[in-house]
Amino acid sequence: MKKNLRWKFIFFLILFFASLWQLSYSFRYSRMSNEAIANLEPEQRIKLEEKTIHLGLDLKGGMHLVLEVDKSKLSDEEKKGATNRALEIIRNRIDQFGVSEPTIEKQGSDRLLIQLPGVTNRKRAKELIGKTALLEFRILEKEETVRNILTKLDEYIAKIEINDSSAIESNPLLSNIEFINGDFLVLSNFQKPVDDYLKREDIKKSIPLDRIFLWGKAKEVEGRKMFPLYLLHSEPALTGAAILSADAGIGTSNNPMGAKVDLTMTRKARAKWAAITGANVGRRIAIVLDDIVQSAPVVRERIPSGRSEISMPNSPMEESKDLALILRAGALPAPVKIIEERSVGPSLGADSIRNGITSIIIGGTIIILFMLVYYGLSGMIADFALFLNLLFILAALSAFRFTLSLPGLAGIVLTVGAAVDANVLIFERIREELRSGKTVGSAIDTGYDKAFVTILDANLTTFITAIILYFFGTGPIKGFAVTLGIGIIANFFTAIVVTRMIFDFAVSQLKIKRISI
Amino acid sequence: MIRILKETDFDFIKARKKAFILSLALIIIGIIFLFIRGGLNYGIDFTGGTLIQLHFEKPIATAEIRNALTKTGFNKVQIQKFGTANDFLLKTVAIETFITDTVGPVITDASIELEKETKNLILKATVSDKATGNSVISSVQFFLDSLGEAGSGIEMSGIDIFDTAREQTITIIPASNWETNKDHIVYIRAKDTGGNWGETKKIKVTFSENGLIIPEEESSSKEKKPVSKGKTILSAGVMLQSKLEEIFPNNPPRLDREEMVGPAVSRNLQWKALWVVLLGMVAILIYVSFRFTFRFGVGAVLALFHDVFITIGILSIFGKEFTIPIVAGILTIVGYSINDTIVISDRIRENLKHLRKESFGKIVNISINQTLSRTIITSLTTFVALLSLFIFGGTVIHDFSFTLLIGIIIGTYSSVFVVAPIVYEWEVKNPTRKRK
Repeated sequence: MKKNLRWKFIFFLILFFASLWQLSYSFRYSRMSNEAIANLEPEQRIKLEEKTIHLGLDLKGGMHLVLEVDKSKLSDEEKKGATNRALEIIRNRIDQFGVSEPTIEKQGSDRLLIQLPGVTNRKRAKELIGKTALLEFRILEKEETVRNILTKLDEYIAKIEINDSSAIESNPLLSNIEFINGDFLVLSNFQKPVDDYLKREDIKKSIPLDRIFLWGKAKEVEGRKMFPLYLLHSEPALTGAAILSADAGIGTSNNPMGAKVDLTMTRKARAKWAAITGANVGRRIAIVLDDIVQSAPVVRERIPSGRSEISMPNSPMEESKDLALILRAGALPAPVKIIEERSVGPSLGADSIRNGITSIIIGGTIIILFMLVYYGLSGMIADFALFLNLLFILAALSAFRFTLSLPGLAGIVLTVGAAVDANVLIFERIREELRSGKTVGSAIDTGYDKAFVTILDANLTTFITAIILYFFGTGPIKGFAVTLGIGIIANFFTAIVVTRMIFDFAVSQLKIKRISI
Repeated sequence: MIRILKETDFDFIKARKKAFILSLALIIIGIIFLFIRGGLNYGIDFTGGTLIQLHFEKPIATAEIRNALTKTGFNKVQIQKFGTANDFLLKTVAIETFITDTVGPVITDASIELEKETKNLILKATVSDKATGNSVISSVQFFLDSLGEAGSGIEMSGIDIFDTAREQTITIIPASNWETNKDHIVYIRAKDTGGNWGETKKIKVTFSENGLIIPEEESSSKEKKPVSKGKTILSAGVMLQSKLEEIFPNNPPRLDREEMVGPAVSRNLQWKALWVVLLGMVAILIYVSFRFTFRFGVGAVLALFHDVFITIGILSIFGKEFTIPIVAGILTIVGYSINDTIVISDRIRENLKHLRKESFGKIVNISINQTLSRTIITSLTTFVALLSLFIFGGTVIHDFSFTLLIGIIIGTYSSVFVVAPIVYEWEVKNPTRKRK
């Protein structure tokens, strides 16, 4: 008995401190100002956010969209994979939009679920998601010319910044750009400042009118995340409409195991493609989707047949598949329409959090007082269990990456109300046993034993409803089901294990003869 | 030791007839109200539609907003105060926004020249979708004299291939057999890769003795220049908000929430809601039948239907809206009502073992009395927590907590007065085992 009690106690302590530790992240995060969060290194921020309680869109503010891919205008052949193409295009755009923790997933065969937490500019977000995919082929400027232009821009910026007297860096632009393997690369941390420079009106004037700077997809270079920067012709050479088919494959002319994409142009576009490739042998042509360079292969020869092979010797098969998907998407943009939207503004979300916490505190306080008055010292044990319950629910939410929604907060309130139920059942039983003349120790034992089955049955049925709600519900309802479910488990644990432990301790160690219940 | 109830000895079995009548009355009242109100007041989750929550800086009257919106043509918007005098809910029909290009290209420039030798006409047209969605042009067609259906005209050929949003096209119209001084009309239309046909451009051509006469440029849609930028990105919420912003410049509303549910989604949700409640009940029936007896399972499920009907009835009486969170609330009630039922059933099962000599009715009575203080205390604490949520939890969650409040009361009542008496009636009419 004693040994058993010790192990229980140790297990409880571990769980208790683990929960406190888990919640400390959320506490720290909630005390930080928005600026302080923005100032964190991206990796640090992600690490911290992963350990904090994940707030649903209805509490944090943001957009929830369900899109349907409209296939009515596509032929049977084109319908295949239209949803995947739309998904790829939208993912490509959202990645650039800089939303933290977006959800982009397929629902059924022709629906897409998109969640953008914290997005306040809904119009821009919708524009970004919904615009027709624009795939273009653009000729890349020669390396030398790019270097000359960058140097010119760099000198210009340096001159201005010296006048501003804020200059510390003698090469404000070039110092952020590295030249590796034929690409101009910018470390992800410096992408924004460089981009800001390039977007400035006065700087734009120094870029030739028929040229444009565009970014490529982020890539890993020597273990660092970098963005390639390209200088391209502003007039596209061809658009996605010229593509007949694009398929990923393996086995290029000089590497039987190399990944490749076979690209075939439509009959109409063949002559133009031949002319473009013929005039640009040895140069690079960028494949640009929605102003983001996806790939920039080198033209090896003139291609009169319309059939080209993009070899990607150093890339995994996945990348060639993605590129083929993007090329097809550019050729066959499938329009999407919003069939469900739920957006919550940040101020309403903040109000909801405040209201939810207020109601938990007020409801909780009344219940705590009631238990104290009604059950005396035992009530205090039940109150301690109630507090543990809240602690465990919140810790479990953040540890298992569940989402806390507004109905989820309601679920916590409900759990607070019901949390005392198990203890009430036990206490009433113990009272009955005491009335029938049993000693304190045996009254506690029988009370717990008899109440156990009831508590198990009662909690299991509620748990069943929580599971059903979880699998059938939409976002916020899922959140409710999660807190309800976790609440039941926490409830069960605190009532059966924790309060029992305290009573056992009181009986076996403190040798109490009377009990305040 | 404080006790709410000393040893009680209420005769619940005797009171069962009254309880049945009360339950029946509540259900009937609910059904009557449902009829009066013409069915459930479904929210947009089930009907489809758009719901917008606006927050005004200063208090404003509902009528003021209504007048303002009616003046601007939005007369089908339902307006409802939401909590304070600054917050409003606006409901309108669903607008499934095609956020892609939905407007076809326009003919920006068209000319007709006479080819002297052959007396054929050379028709040139420049087509652009740049201002109307920026999709690539896919087809340009013309009609002579009579405008046919989009897509049935004669294809014009591009100067080069169609691969941008702006294309130049050319075609030859044989005109050698045209009579002089007879008017002919050339119509031109273009389509983009989104499949949208644009507006038709009309050109009148006449041969006269002096050659070709083409009157001033004429467009079939001169009066209504394309206003749309090609993308109907504005949602109902943004639209209403910006309209109200114009009308009330000193009290601009903030868009706090917007929910849009399209018809396909709402149909899906209707099914899902029905399924989730039924599935919940079936799961409970199975569990209770397995843990207790089938009779208790049936009694419990009947009580649950009872709870659900009465709760829905009361929601209808108060004119509450039936939404997805309400369905979740109802299922939660189901979960909690069964909780109470099980505590009582457990006692009955236990007492059946110990008190073999007593009649079934007596055992049921004893069991309910024994668990009564627990039933009351638990219901009370849960009620207090929910009341706190109802009062302080904010307007968004108001109806949800209201449903739960009602449900807790009904659920507690039904587990005491409905379940065991049903099992009792069954037992009396058709005993499962021999008793003394």
